[in-house]
Amino acid sequence: METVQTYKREEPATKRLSRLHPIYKDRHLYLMLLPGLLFFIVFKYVPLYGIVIAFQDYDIFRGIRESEWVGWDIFKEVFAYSDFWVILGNTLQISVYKILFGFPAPIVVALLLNELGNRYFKKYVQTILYLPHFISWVVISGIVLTIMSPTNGVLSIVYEWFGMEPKNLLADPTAFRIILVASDIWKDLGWGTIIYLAALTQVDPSLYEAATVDGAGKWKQTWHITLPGIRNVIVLLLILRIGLLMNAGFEQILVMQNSAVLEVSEILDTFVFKFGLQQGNYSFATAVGLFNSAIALILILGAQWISKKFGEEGLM
Amino acid sequence: MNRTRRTRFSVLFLYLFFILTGIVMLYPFWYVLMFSLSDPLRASVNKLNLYPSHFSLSTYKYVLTQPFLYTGFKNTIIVTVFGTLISMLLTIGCAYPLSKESLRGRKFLFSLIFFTMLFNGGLIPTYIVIKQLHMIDSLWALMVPSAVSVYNMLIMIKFYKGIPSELIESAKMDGAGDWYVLLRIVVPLSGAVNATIGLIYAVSRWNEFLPGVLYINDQSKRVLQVVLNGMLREDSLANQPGLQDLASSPESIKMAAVVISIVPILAVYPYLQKYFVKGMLLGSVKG
Amino acid sequence: MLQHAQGWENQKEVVALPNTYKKVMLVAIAASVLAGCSSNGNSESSVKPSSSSSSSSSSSSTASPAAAESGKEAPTTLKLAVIEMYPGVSFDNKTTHYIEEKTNTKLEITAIPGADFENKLQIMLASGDKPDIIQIGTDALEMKFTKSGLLLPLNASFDKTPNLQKFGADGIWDAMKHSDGNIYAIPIRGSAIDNIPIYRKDWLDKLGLKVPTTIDEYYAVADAFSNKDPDGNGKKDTYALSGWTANGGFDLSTSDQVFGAYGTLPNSWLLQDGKLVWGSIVPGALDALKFLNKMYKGKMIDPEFVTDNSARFKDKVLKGVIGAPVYRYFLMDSSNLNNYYEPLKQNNPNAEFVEGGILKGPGESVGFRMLTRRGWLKTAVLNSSPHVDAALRVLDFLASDEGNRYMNYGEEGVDYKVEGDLLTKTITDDQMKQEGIGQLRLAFNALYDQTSPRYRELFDYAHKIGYKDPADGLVVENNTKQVELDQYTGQQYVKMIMSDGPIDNLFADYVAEWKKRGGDALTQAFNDAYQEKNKK
Repeated sequence: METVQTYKREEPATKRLSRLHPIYKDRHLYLMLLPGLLFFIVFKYVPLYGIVIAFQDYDIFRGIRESEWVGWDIFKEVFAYSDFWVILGNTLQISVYKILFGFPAPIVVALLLNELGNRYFKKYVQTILYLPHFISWVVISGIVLTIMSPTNGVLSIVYEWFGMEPKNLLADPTAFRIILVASDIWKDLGWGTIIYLAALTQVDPSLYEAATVDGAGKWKQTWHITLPGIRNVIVLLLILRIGLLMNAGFEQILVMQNSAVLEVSEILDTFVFKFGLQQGNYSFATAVGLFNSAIALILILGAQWISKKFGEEGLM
Repeated sequence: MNRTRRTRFSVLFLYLFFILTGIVMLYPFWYVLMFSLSDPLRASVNKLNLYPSHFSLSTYKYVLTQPFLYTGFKNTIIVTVFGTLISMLLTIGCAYPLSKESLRGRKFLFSLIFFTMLFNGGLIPTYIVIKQLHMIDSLWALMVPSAVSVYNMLIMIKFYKGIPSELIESAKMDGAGDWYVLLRIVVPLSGAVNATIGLIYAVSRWNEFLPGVLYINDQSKRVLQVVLNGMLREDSLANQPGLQDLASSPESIKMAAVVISIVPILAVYPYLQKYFVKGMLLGSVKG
Repeated sequence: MLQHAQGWENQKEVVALPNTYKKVMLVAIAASVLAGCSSNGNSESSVKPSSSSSSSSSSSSTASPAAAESGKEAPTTLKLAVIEMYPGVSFDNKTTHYIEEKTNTKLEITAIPGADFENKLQIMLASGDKPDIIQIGTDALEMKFTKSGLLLPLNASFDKTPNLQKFGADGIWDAMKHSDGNIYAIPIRGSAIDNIPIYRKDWLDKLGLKVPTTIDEYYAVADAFSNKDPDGNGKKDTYALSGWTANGGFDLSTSDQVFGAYGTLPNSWLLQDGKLVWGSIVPGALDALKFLNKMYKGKMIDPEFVTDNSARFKDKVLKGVIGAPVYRYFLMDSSNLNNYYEPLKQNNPNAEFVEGGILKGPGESVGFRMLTRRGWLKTAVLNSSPHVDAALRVLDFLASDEGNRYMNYGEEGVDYKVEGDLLTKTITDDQMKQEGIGQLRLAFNALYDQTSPRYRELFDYAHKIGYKDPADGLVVENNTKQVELDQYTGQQYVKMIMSDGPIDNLFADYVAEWKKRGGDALTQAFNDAYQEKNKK
């Protein structure tokens, strides 16, 4: 009789234990997790009780324990606000446009950056691309106002070229939305490429060599090697971005909106800020925050499910 | 022949694209820089500012001679360096174990952490927790409570999963423990993601404003963005008896502040570039 | 709310609310505070021990320090949470010491940056901090705190604080009184009106025009200013009027002279036949809007009036783009109060403004918008304070002539000198800040002795032609409706001013909608409060 002899040493006790308890086997991994978990418990879970403010008529001095419980009243108040559905619609619309145009843009630019041969050029270009990210919306909106000025901005020159009367595009609802999306891309395009560039380094260069040998051109290589290579990162970021759907760009819109475009530019966050926080109404702000979080959860789970159907890993 | 002409054309297009895009991206910073170098009384927000309308260093003189500015720099540097370190340690510590599919309870822990990304208790309870930990008026409050970003952690997990398992397995067969694998194999091989996430954390700390206002009262611990913000004087505060400074104007200070907070980052960034190349080695280790 | 890679949202600068009438400040204001606060037992802190102030207002018990002078009681320690007037400047300075000496107190001051002032204040209070004296910005917050029973009624002790009583005896206390007849906060006092109609004198001279006195004359002047090239550069780059926006709301106050000529002021209460009416919906407003619409079509209003912010507007005035708005008369103060005059002159040495008056219209005209007497900053004492007497002592001292003068100018002979009726400061602004002059504005009445005689003349003139808001100081419960209605008004007004066709129907629709959305209820509430108040 021949038994397949695998090289087997005498099993030390710890090894035996490892085979019985997967947790013990991975004890070092759990140890690594410990500080992080502590962090989450202390700074995220402990304060979580603040969510109840959304269900209370919160009074700072009575505190959470003694403030009056009002159940869903705050939510009802929010939904009953005459323009609520318009505001919700604006939030979704602006966000969807931003995702549609703003999500692919950094990917494309990252791919193009990857093609640059000259290291110095690449380095300088990258640094320049990042710059707008560091400038606050207050300043950038001022610059946008200057460029779009019908009296002495760049735009007025373009208008005159075509022999037309310069218009104040920022006061035009449709144009305003386009400007919102465009300036958002302008600001964060460069910064958005960072993660994709890092992802690109994980793609095996030998695959490109093999593809060239097989006669595949640049486009084919991009489609069959590069994109699949960073697909997991793209899907992750897309799911997260969809989850952030309710964030249409608070700071940007707050400084850029004006009376003529309010009906398309008032979003949930600006609404809550003006009517909730600035009035000292924490319950209001917390309620809308909770609403946003709930929607985000549904969206992310949905996106995750869809991605799994396509065979992707999704979030995890 | 055809191929080279096409490739030359596409190369040209590529460089042209980046030159144009670069100019467009550079413009906001250029505007800010030119404005900050103009005479504060004559500079106009309503102009394109392609060059300083009336060159003057008075705004920079004003801002750079305020000792308070350097307090801000000092504190922000401390918070950025140590805060990023803490963030990276905690994030890597969580990301690596969670990247292992075989970890027992992975889904549970993952959900636990992910949940905090969507739901949080708000400013008041967080403040109370920080207060009870005696972190108010300590720079710790600017480094610890916001140490881990789940977003960043998720990205890191993705990257760790991309590390070829053969490497880890062979190391384990040679008797390596989890710590060894993490510190000697995984981390060195993830140069690109380390640099990226590290940069994201660092920039986030550097630009941070609200926590610096909420958790710090001691002027000696003020961070840069709070200091810069304080230098802006809005004239809509009417009835200021006697504050009739000609040294600068709020707009000019705002612009100079942007330049002052960006320049250190620009100075440091080139050093991070090399890490992106380091990660390239990973590709050749495969297979 | 989601948190992601970008970290905290940079809520650095939030522009002032459009309603200048309310003057809510959320932007960092020039203010200094040095709060020396080291937390208990924290090893990481590298605190430079700052001499006077020690711990932050984190613990509630206040022990009086030992330093008892012979024959005197030990000074009482008071905790204050105030707005940061001078960022980066310590409170350990001669002004603070002066106050402490005169009132036998020791002041532990926590300064809160203006950028997030009320937010942080509420969070601190919610976490259990218990200062003795606090400052508040908005009326809304003052109402909230009063409703929670947090604030001490100051009038109850007026007999013990005569200076404080005198501080507001000229009508200010009336404005501060709540419906229960009590006064809970001390407002910061200054000019009651900052904006009057002003006209570019050099343009008037060049075009051979005089300062308009009727609404029709105004039209002629506006037309000339906009279309007859008053700056002589061959370009159409001047306008009579413009406006600005803040947080999506629209500030119309720069065209108040037009509304005033038609007997109304937008976003303001008017008294008609003993009742309060909202100025934005009266028939006179429609006439004014028609006038503005005509002006807009005639290119007399800057097309950027909808989208500019206040900084751009100011820039346009200083650079000679706008010539006939209702705006700051600081532009005529050669002592450069608040930095208007010098920049104007630097850009164009010939630029000069001259003041105008109430324009005569078809009916009874109305004066110009005044700031609320309730001020943009208020000081209050917490009911829970164990040192109410000491707190009141400090406030009373600062309200006295001596204390107030010191807080305005410092020490006579050292920081300023008086020659005749003109006061000149002998120290720089920076020195002023370091000395703490103007740092603690708890019961502050701004003095104007250092301004030019011309400014003081304008000051008096402006107060004469201002329109006293009949509703100033009325306390009505829910303020949110006001914000909503004002925003809606701004939207509709802009639409009507820019409208190509007739606006009569637009206006009628606007008024109906305004009433439906809560305007009627609001009017009723205010009228009730008004009747209440005037019964007493």
